[in-house]
Amino acid sequence: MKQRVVASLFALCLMVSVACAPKSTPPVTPAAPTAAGIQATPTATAIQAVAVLSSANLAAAQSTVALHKAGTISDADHRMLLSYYASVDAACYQARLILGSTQTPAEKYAALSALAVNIVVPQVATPEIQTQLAAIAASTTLLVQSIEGLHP
Amino acid sequence: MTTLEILQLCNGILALTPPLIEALAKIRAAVAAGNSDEATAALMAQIDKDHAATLALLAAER
Repeated sequence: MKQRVVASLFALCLMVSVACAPKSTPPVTPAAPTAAGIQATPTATAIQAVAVLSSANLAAAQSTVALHKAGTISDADHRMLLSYYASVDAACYQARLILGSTQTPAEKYAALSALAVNIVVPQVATPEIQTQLAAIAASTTLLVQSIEGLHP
Repeated sequence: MTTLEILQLCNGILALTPPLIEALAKIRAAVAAGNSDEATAALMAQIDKDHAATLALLAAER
């Protein structure tokens, strides 16, 4: 009898606890898990993608300059590549300004969608540069996907 | 344990559970927000640094 009373009381406790627990409000935007296991907002994920792209772009620009000085890259390819790096850098910086602004995710999505991100990667004969350009292309794809995460 | 003691224990659990759940939710939210802000600020600083370095490199090559 006592056991049944205890069991009933604990069941009652559980039900009341669940009923009294504060209702968690749903997040404004869907969240993605980060490496640390913490929920990252779509904005934070997009900033991460911009950071990856800007690093890849800078690394490729530095390699291009070094290889041009060593005579491995032609003047024409050098000019074309620097122009490409400048456009990627400008897009990254614009994206960073938009993502760092106080706009809503929907406004950020609209602004980023209007931002021209050059996804056509130039082709060059130098394998080392080609590898770095492939890294830029992969990072650009990642950025475009993360921008989609801001879609309202 | 008497029935009265069991009832008192249940009353204690009832009184404690909602504030505990609320406190845990607040801690979890604060930790997530704090880490997210910190990481985001570091990434923004890195983008700014990359941007400045890229501009300097391109300017030197012109």
